[in-house]
Amino acid sequence: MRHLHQGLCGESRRTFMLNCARAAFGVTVGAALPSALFGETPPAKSAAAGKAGFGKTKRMIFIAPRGGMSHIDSFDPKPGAGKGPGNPISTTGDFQITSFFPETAKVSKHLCLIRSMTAKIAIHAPAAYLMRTGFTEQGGVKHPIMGAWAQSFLGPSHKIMPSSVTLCRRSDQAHGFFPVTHSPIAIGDPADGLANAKAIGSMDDFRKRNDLLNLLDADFRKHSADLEVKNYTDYYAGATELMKSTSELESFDISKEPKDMQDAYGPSRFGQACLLARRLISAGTRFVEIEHGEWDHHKNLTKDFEEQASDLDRVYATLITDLQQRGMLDSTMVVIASEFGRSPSFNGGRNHYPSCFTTVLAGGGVKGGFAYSASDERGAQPVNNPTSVGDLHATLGWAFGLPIEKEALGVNGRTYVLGNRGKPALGVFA
Amino acid sequence: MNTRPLTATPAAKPFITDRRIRIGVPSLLIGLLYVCSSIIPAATATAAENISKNPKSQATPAAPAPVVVDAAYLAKAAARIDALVNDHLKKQNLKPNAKAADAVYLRRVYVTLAGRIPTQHEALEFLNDKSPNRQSRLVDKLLTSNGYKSSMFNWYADLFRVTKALKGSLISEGGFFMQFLRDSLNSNKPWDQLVFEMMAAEGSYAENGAIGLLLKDAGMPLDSMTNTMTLFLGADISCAQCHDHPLNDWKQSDFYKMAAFFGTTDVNGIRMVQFKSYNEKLPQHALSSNLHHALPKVDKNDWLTYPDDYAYKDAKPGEVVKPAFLMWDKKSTPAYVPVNYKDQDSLRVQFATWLTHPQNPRFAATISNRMWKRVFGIGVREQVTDLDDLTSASNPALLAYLAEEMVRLKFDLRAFQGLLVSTELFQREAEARTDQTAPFHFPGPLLRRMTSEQIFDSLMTTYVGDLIDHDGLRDETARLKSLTIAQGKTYVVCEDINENKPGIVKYDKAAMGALVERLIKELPKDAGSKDFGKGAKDVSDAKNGPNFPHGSARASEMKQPQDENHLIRYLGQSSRNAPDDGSLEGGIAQALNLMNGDLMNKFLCSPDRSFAVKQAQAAGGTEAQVRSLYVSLLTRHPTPAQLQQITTAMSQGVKLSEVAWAIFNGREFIFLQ
Repeated sequence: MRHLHQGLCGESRRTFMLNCARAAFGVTVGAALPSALFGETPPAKSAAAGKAGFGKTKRMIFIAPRGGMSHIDSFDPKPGAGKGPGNPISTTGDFQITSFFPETAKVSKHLCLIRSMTAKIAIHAPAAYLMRTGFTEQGGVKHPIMGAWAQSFLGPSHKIMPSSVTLCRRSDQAHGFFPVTHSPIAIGDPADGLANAKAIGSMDDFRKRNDLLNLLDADFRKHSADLEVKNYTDYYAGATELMKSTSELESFDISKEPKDMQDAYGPSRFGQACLLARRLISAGTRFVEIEHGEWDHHKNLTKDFEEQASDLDRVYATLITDLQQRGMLDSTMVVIASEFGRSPSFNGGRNHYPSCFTTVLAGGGVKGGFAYSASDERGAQPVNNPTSVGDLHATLGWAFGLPIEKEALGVNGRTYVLGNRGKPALGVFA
Repeated sequence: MNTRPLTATPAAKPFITDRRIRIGVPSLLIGLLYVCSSIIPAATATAAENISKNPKSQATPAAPAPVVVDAAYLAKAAARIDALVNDHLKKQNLKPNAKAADAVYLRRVYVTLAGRIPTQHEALEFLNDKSPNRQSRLVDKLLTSNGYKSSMFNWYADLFRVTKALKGSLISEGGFFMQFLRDSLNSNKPWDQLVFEMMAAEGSYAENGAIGLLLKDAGMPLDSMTNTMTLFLGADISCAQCHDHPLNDWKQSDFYKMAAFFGTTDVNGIRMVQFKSYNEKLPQHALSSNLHHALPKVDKNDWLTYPDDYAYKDAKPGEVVKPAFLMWDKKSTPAYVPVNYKDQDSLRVQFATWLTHPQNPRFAATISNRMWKRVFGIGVREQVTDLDDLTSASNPALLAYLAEEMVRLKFDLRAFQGLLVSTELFQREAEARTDQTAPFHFPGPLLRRMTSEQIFDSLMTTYVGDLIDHDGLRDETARLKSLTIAQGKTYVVCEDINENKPGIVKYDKAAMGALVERLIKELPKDAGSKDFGKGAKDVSDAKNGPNFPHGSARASEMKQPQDENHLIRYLGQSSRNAPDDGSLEGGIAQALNLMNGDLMNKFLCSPDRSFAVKQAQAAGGTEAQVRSLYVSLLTRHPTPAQLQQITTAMSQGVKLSEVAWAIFNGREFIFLQ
């Protein structure tokens, strides 16, 4: 299978899939591509098919609070000496959160809390890498984000739209060991959308000089066996493909959204990112990753945490409500996944703390209003269902309907298992 | 014998580390105004004391002795490197690649040493030069050029996470650190001295820009230690931070013992001391903005302790950590002297002395490997941040020799790079890599994409031509000094953020009370809101640096880092959140920017502003125009087929500026052969 998996660019991969489909189901290839082949349906005949939550998630928005969000001051409030500045408040779910999240409290009936996340890395970069990919970075191998895993098993989510998009950060080789066609489009400032997608001058002029570009560069490409040279040719092909489309490009432009929706999400960078994410998943993108804010509160937690939380709270609640009103929440999972928690002892700030923290799931088939697991009275250790980051990734893969125990072949010839063989937390699903 | 004056070293500035300078210049930032005041201690007394406390300043004279590398010595060392590379290739049943064409060498040596492609003029000058020592003359020229300093600044900026302002700050205090690095480059400061100065640094920015590196991880001794180790010792001990290291027999406690050297450094320790009596009246955000550029300070009550969730039996949670140096293979060297851990004041000096010691088991090897990567595209040992067991490198003898050579060259990075580009290896055809995880054996340099800064500066070269390296690094000394006060005086620097009008007002101390009162009164109403001060204002954005016509500049002279919607960020410039984080990765958004972004817009819509296009237009007929453009952009002539293709396209209405567009967007432009 290696030769089939490797080096297939988007176009040939689709062709390959269509050929398989034709052989297997007698699918006719026409202008309208059968959506069943592009991620709308989990692969048939899996042993897991039909089990709780399996394949219920069709799209995912993965929110990463950068710097390490305090679990105790957000979704796992604690009384006693380690109590932070927030007070516990009741929610529409079967749990309390802190008073920093009043809007989220109103939509908590959709939330499922894993309060027993546990890891060992207390340093930002490697901890964030682990949470993003489910793997520890080592030996120069880059690991893929969930969107790339989903694309690997389910194929591209749409003919033109990118299967994955990453907002407010770089891609940083998010395709990991998969081909570069699994790479997300990376957008730094969501207000810019997909900047520079319009040709300078007429499209006709563009075509002429682009043809010339491909002619002049042909020698160099032919004589260079380098993988990145090939990758660049894929990127340019993807870019020119997008330039030709119109409705797909509009989905990247939040100014096309009705005024009341723009107001509801608000002017903050995160508000704009979530609005863009909702537009993108509506247009066919499967996975959107968003980095949020600055949560590294060693000192001045009271003021700084509130500033971050008020933004997260308001926008997140808007997103959940919007998805629900559009009937998309059942099939769209929204994840808030901090790289670690913060220490139980409070001295105006809190240090990094990976031994126990909280991940928040909503939609996509999870049990709403439900605390799946708990931490001890200080928020220092899990008391039940300890869940590693690999377990979390296996859970997300399960929700997507991926064959999570199956080995996937990297372009480096090695095999990997999603979530580094973590076990899915099936109790989170309805 | 010829000697190469690789290092013409002007007198370096004396290095001041008087740890009694605690208060120095607390810059009081009040909304849109900030106030600086200072007490500069008597320099002579402190310098004497400094020497007695600081072993490095005894070992290292203030002005490093110039390293003049004898050409014969250089040839011998380069030959030794080539022999080690070739022996290794032989063992792998591989052959060295053929010698690359002149033009390929030329482009490579410019990009490597000056951080950009050559101009047409520079290219022709070399290609038409038939003298036997033209290569060594070119190397000497490039190593002493402004382009070299500029490209090394970019390299430092990526490594040391250079930003114009620290997180949460409204002023550009990063300028002090940048100026420290620029000064270091201007004096060709040896690597060991540079690192020592940064690791042992104390004081405020105004006194010592070298504190910039330590401030990057303020309040996070574990993150700080992890970065220090990966940067300077090629040791990734982050896994030992949560469990015992499987390979090196390091324990989790070893990690804490190393971090303990920094545990007593409290970089948030002093705030607003000068203005304490006014503190309660200042808005909270003004205080917190100041935390980050407060002065590093040693606090004797602040030892590092084992964490609450420490799980091993060799120490208890909450127990004070006693500092100790990390060992490799349990081997000691003269770098290891007993730690005097009772002398808290000197712990970081003890650490920095050990770290930068020529016989530290990893220091010389790590920087040699990083320099090798800078020149040849990939380290002898990857990852450069994690050398682990040196003997398991694909070519351990080569790595060991490079480290010895680095010590012999007294950590002079300029001389060391001069050595590397003098090898035969550097002149060979590049080798593509198809498997990212397989070891690379160096039949030639690695074929790779240029860095974001190299691509940008190369584009700039075609835009401004021979102006590109006309200027040296920006010198902000005077501006920074205006913030740093003469003895006993107090200055107030006012900056109206809305109108962006900097101005300096002078006050004496007695007036301070009334002044602060007034400043508080005049604070805008939204001063406490979260959007206030969004995006640091930079006094240095005033036109006081080397800029090109039409508002552009080299990467090293631009904002650090650039805004995220700038081409250079799309190309992979680091956000400076993590060390060593520039990216060579492509992407769809980047391709769109390269094809349709602002810069290409300038090239296409105002071709008369582009030096290379203008030069080509003036060259005569179509063929001459195309040849001119090719030499300017690709450092070579077009093939007959390419000439034909362009002639055909131009006859169908494609303009010369569009031909330039087609070349810029080709892989050949951004990949270094």
